[in-house]
Amino acid sequence: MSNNGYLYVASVNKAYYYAAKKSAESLLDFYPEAKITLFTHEEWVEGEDYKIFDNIITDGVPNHIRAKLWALSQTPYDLTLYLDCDTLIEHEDISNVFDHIGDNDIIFTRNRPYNAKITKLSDTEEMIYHCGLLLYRNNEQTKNLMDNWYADYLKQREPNWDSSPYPYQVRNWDTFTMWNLLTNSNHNVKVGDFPSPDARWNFVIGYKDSELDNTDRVIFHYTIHKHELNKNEVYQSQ
Amino acid sequence: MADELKKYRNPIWQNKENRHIVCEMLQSDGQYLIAHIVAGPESEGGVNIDYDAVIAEYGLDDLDARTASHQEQREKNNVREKEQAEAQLMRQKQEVLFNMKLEAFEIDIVKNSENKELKKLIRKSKTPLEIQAYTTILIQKELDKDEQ
Repeated sequence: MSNNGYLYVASVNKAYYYAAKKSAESLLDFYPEAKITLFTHEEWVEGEDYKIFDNIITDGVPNHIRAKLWALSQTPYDLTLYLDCDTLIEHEDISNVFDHIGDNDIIFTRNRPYNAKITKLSDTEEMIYHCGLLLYRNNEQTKNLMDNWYADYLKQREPNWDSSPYPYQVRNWDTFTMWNLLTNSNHNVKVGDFPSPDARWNFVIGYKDSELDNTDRVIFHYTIHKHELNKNEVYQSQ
Repeated sequence: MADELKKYRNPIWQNKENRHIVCEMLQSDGQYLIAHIVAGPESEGGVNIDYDAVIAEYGLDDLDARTASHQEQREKNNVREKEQAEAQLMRQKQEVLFNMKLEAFEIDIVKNSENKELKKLIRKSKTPLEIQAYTTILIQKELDKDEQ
């Protein structure tokens, strides 16, 4: 009996919580047996949420825009598909996603430079992995990587953090933190890619249709509009 | 600094046969303005002192190289602008579809329907027409069910 599941994290702004519910509902339309965990704030949880999520974790969830980095190592599953809240499932293949882990500890889809604010760090260094969706194995080395991802991101956000030799704006990006960990530290984590065409597993708004190579999208990844964020409740830590 | 004092900057051929150069030319107020310097076909023996000055300063080979580099850059810019325009159009289409799907699922009768097959068809739709059609069918089926 496999213990694999899907994980969402919604913090800071209630728009993320609503988006996570919409995404999970779309997941259940294609895979009604899916096991889904939501990390969020207790005050936001509504009774009907338990019809969508098997597991809602509120204990200790930080009120932080990158709460996901905190939550990843606490997954209750052996294999976890983490999805950003602003995603929608569009295909039955979502039920087979765990088959693609192979012997890797973690797999990513690739960034498309034409559709990303920043990917290239220098002539030889590029943040190739998209960190808004990842499939990972629950083992010590992966959990260490995830915990360091959060710890390093927090350091990166400190005012005196030195970004050199990279542009200062990288401090905003958890993608940079992950790139730095995978490039400059040794976590013994085996990293791989989603099968080609990887775009079908994380089709980010703005991607060219040709990226799909005549296959169907499994996951559509949009961006929550600023007006949605502005009209929704911002969580106030107790 | 020395470069700023040059009378002619960044010259390229507009039409080499016609000895037509485009460059930035220093004006009396210290500003550079785009200037077209035309000496006409060599066979006609026309003389233009600005043309002669540019050739004397830069040489024909340098002008050829600058023109080739400029054209290459312009072609790259054209390709990039075309890609950006296509990406923008693609994004707009994706936004329209996405918003229509959200709106469809905000209709209570759709949201609460247990007709998974039609809900999946709405979610998979690739055109606004498909979304509209499947949403209409689903609503009709739900209404028919209520009547029975």
